[in-house]
Amino acid sequence: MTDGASHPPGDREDGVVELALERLGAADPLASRGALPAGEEEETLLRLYTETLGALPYALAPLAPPPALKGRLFAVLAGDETQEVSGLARRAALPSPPPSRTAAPAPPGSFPVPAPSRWPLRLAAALAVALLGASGWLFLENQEQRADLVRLDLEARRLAGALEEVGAARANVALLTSPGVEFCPLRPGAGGPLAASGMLFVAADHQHWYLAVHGLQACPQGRHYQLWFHTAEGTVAAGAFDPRPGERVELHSPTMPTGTRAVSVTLEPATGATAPSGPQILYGEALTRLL
Amino acid sequence: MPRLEVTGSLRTLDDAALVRRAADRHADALAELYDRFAPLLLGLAARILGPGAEAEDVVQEAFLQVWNQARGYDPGRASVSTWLVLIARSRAIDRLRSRRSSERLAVAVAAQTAARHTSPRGLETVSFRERRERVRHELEALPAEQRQVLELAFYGGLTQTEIAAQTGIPLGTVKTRTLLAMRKLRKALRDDVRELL
Repeated sequence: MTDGASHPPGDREDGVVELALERLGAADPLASRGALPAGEEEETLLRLYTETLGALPYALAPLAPPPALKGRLFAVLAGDETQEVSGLARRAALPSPPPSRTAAPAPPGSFPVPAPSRWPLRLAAALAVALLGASGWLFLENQEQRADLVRLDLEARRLAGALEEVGAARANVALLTSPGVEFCPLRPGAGGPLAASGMLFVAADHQHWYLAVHGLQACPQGRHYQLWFHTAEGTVAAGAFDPRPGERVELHSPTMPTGTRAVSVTLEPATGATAPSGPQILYGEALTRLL
Repeated sequence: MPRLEVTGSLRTLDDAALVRRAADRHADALAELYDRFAPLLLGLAARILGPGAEAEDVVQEAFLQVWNQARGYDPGRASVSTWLVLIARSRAIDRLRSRRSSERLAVAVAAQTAARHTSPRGLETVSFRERRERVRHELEALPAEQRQVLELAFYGGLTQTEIAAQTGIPLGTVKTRTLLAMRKLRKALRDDVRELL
């Protein structure tokens, strides 16, 4: 990200910083080494600055990828491999060059001999055709088997996803019915629609929690809903979501900040917010023991 | 063909071990890496490109690149986390530049096809969350003008000359602010960085 600016010879650390930033712009950010002297100290510093840059996105709110994205990724992977195999299969199925049909000239002075019978040639041609046919059939069969494998793989992943959801649902039911579970209703805040509501359930360990939210409108472009836990030390972002209008949203996690005394949902820029800044959509603070 | 056998112990493997396993064409290792890092990378891509289909494409491309280049991964140059972040960032910045050059049409299309995100199921691990709080805290502790140049460089993909032109700040000042911000962050995040090494 620099423009090749020079730096004082004695100030090696500044040079390393510039190099670390410069490498960000390279096609392979870790391959380019620039003109830095290859000293051990500089190498270590470069690594530290590279890791510092790599840590920056940790400040952003993580976003859950839609479940279909993982399936798409692995479908592409499986597809690539299939194509590779298909290419090999295609190459293997190419007919071999026909044998040379040039007859050796008859030695001078020899007796004329009768023309050789054509049946071996015909037999060879028939065999070649049969072989080609068999190769083609095997190739198609192979393609179908590969496609079946991809389908099975995707099916297995869908099943695994469903099992994971069932497992999560069971865990939530266990939480809701556990002794000492507490709940906290979330009511519309000043900036939220009156139809919006939510219910937070917290296990007795004050760590596991489950939140269901209803009646939210779609987020405006470039914004998303952000869940916050309020503690004595400040607010902690606990997840972002972008539901369809009226869609029920469920969130849960095995961890909750110590000393959480209230919870809120605000509308924030999708680029991330470090503290609640947008309109408050939902808010709740009183935990009541359920069981 | 990727190997797809399921192993129960992948969650106990560290990131570098997963990359080595992915290099041996074990797709389950890539799946575990995806589960660990996809939310981080999607957050990064969405920060650069805005949320939506384009950011998701970046995540998919990044993991395909990881699959294809896992053999070339050198743990001596960067942690797996940083390697993944830099790959995804590079892909997202490429798209951002392409978008800038093809005016706003692409933005409109991306906005129409914006995907909906549901909340992370498990949100994030405790260590991930703690790191996030620390990095966020240290970034907030930077003077606003230093944070601005750093973010324009990292998330905007701008060179220092471009930052100077865009903000009207003299180039020398941009460089000084960037250096100061980087030095402070390296010192402030030294424990986190050591964890990654």
